[in-house]
Amino acid sequence: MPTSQTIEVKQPIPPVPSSTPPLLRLEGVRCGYREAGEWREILRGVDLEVQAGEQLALVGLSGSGKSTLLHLLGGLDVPSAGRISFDGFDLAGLGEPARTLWRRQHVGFIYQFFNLIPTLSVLENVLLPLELNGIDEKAGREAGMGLLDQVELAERAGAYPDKLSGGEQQRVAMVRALIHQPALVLADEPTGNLDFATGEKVLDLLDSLVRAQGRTLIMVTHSPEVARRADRLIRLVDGRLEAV
Amino acid sequence: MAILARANRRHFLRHPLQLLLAIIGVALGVAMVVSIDLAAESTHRAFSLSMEALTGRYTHHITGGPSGLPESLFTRLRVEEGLRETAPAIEGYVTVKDGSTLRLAGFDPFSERNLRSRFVKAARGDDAVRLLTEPDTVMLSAVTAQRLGIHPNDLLAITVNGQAHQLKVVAYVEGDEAPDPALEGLVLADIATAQEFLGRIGVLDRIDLILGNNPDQDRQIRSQLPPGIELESVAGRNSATQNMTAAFELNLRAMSLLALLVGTFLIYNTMAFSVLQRRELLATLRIIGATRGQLLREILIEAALLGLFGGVLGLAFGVLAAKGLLHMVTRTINDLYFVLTVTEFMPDPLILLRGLALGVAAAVIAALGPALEAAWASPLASKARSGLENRARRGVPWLAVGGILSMLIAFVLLQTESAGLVPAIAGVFLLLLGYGLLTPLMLLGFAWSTVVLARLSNAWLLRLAVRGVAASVSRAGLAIAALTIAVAVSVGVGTMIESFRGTIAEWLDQILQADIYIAAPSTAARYSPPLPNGLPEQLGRIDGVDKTGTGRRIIISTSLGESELLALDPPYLNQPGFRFKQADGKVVWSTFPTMKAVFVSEPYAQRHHLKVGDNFELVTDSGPITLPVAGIFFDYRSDQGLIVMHRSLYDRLWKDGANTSVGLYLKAGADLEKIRQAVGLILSSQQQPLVVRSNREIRAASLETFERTFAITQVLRLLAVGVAFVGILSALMAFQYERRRELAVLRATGLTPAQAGWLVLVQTGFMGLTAGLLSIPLGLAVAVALVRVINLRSFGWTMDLAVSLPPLFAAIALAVFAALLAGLYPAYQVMRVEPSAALREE
Repeated sequence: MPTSQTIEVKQPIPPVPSSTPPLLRLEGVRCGYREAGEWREILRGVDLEVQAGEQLALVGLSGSGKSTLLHLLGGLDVPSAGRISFDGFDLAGLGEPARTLWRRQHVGFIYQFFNLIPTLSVLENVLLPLELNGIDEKAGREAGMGLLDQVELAERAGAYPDKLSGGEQQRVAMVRALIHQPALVLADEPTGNLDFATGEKVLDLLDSLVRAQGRTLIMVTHSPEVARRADRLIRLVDGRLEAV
Repeated sequence: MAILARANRRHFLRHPLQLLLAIIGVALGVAMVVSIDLAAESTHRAFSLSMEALTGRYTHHITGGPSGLPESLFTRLRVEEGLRETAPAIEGYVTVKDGSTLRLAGFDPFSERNLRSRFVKAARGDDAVRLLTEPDTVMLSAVTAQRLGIHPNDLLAITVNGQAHQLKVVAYVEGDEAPDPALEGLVLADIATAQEFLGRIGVLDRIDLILGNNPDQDRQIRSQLPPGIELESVAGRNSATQNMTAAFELNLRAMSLLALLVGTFLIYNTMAFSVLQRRELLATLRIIGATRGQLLREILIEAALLGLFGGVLGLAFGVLAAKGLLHMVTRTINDLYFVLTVTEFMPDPLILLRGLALGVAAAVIAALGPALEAAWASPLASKARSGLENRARRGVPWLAVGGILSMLIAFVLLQTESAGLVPAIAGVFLLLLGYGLLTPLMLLGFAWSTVVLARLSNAWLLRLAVRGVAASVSRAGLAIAALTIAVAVSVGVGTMIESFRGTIAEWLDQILQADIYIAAPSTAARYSPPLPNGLPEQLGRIDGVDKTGTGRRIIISTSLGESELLALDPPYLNQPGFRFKQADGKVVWSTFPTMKAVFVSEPYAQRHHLKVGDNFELVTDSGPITLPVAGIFFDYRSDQGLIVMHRSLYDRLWKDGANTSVGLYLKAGADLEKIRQAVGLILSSQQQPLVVRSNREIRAASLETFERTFAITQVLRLLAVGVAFVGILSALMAFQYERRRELAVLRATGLTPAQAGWLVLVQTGFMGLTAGLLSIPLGLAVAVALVRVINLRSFGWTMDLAVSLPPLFAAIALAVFAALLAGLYPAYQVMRVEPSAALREE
């Protein structure tokens, strides 16, 4: 029976490698889109290495390409040029179906607007990534309830998202992002929609869960306070990365 | 149920009205198809069963001309030729107190024995003896007896050829066995009793016989038959009778399929809306790791379930509706084709299963587009509505190109005369589909012109409303297309019926040239009882009557199959009795009394591919004779067609002095009522009741039959509009739901609740007006296709297209009204919405 600490996944997740080689490596990544017949480049050659277990804060002005970079890292989009390798293999070389399968196993997403499924209860939202990975609801239930207990939401397991406060919704989103023990957690302004105190509480929980599980966290933020919590801070300027 | 499935299914449970509308859409579509199928199948089944009951194991019939067969022929065949497996038969129609028509069949218990299994009970035992020994005794089908409340030894009041009689029911045809639906409407009598009641003493209608599969034997029997008497196979005769209704049923089926097509629009609409509503949910699922295949499967399963629920509901509606339709279909068949009594209604499991499958398939096909859209959209792009509308807008010209291509194919199918009826119906469907595809482009054009006008007149609410519609072309275009098609079909069918009515009225004016007509009341379609001998001459002597004309209608055998023949003796030749298709009517009509040729009606020519100058063979009392076609005339009394010859030629070919009708032509200034009274006096001395009607009364009665024939079409037409209304309601609710944030912003910036409500109504009214205006050209095109192609290929009738403006204005008003009605609930919702809540939802 799986527990909150050990979840058996039918399709095995590759082991998170040690600090060398890096979990993520970006080389000359470019990305853009065509607008009114003209090519608009958002990322103009991004190079980056992220070690397993590292916590990274990504800052930059609006429109600098932070979300685009996050989507590339999560396999939601592919670069127009360059290479993104995860644990040694090239993500850009995967087709859409393979990227989806890779994402469901190795990535957890946390959004500013929570993006919970309104038609599912808290527990069902949490268990959904497990189900997609082939673990049935019954088997994942204990793990889900364990994690919900850690974020003090076990009693709200049967509630629907519209009955939760913003902070509670974000905690559910966090548990959903971590339940299947992904190697990489991507968070896009996770406290952007919360007041300061609630945001702090959410970040504390996120920090403890991610560190306890040894996951890699890349977090987009506008907040210097949030950024300061990270192991490393990088800034996107004009589509290129600058170390801060 | 898996969590992924739950996430999607609960979406529908949270929008019960939307779910209900979709289920109703499928249900109505399936109900129409199933009800038509069930009604048609029940009539088929009733026909087959009654034919089987009446023909039993017999393989062939020997039939004669209008005067029937002499009884001596039966004796000769049985005794001299040794054909033991033969039985004499005579049949006619009688009416009973509830107005229904029953089949009176005369049979010979001694000849029957085991040949007609259903008559076995009747042919044996004491009851058969009573039929032979007691006068005026009959057996009655148990089903019919129950319906009429008749028990053994009760009296049954019947009217035959206008004369009332009382018959004693000695037993049920089935004996003590369970009522047999196949025998519904059957009154069985000894052959002598039937001959007496039908006024045909010494005459048989046919001799039934069993022959092996031996062409030599067939030939030998044929060679021994007197001239004018034919041997024909039972299967061929039954199939020819049943084929009469083929075009009628095909047209009904086409109407029901149209309803399903509109229903499919509805499902598409619902599924597209549900996918759009869930685009964020679906995008989140994709981000979490749901594959395209998983989402596609989920949405298609949803659609299939929706189709299943709607289908099951549709089957229930369909069975209920079929009972009503059965009555209408049977009445039309009785009016136009042959006598059929159907009270037994058995839902055929195969039809129900097919209806259900059709509902599920329509739902899945309709959902395929939105499902592919949902599954294939990038998880990032599907979060943006504007992206979808941009794609939809880019697709509009391509849809228009597809629409034009579809209409071109439709044009070719409708123009190719040799293509037949099914391609013509496919052509009408393609025309509707093509126009539907062109609708979004026309909507954008219409919206642009309205915005320009609104700007010039400073009508800001109108401008805002119309811009909103144009900005949602993916949704509004579809809703308008569905409403346009439904209203256009209504306009097309309405114009066709109006054109037909006008043509019939004109035709009646042409053929009803006498002032008063006398005929025996007919108990069945295609059966005209003869008048008493000498009656025309007696009537012609009435003071004030200028001349008389006679007519004789009979069914004859021809090389083209069993046909109706009308022998006419018109007193005047200056005024053609028909409108001729190709030739100058006056010239052709003037040669009528002397020509050794026939005229054929347009449906007859169409059905048998005859042209003026073609020859075909008629079986007469003097043997087969080949006659040329001298003219083709317009005629609308039957889609089976009619052969017309002059009475003098008829008398040379048939030994039949009888008349079926007499027309009295009055002198100028004669008093119609006085002459009618004189006619009544003469007729009162006749034993046989006869009917006297002025040409005006016949005209009214004919138009009444016409209205009855189209009653079923009108019902189907209304149902199609009903389905479309549900569609537009669903589409408008979806449309307004999607715009709630925009409306909330407008409310937040100062739009009052009343103005918000008006905005919604102006939008829906604009959509209704667009659909109404667009439906007119399409409706007229459908009318042309129905009048010039479908009716011609189905029934062989050419009609004059009659377009009048009031129904067209009514169609526009209907579309606007339907749209406004459908907009009321969304308007109410918008007026109640809290701007802050709607804005927070984002």
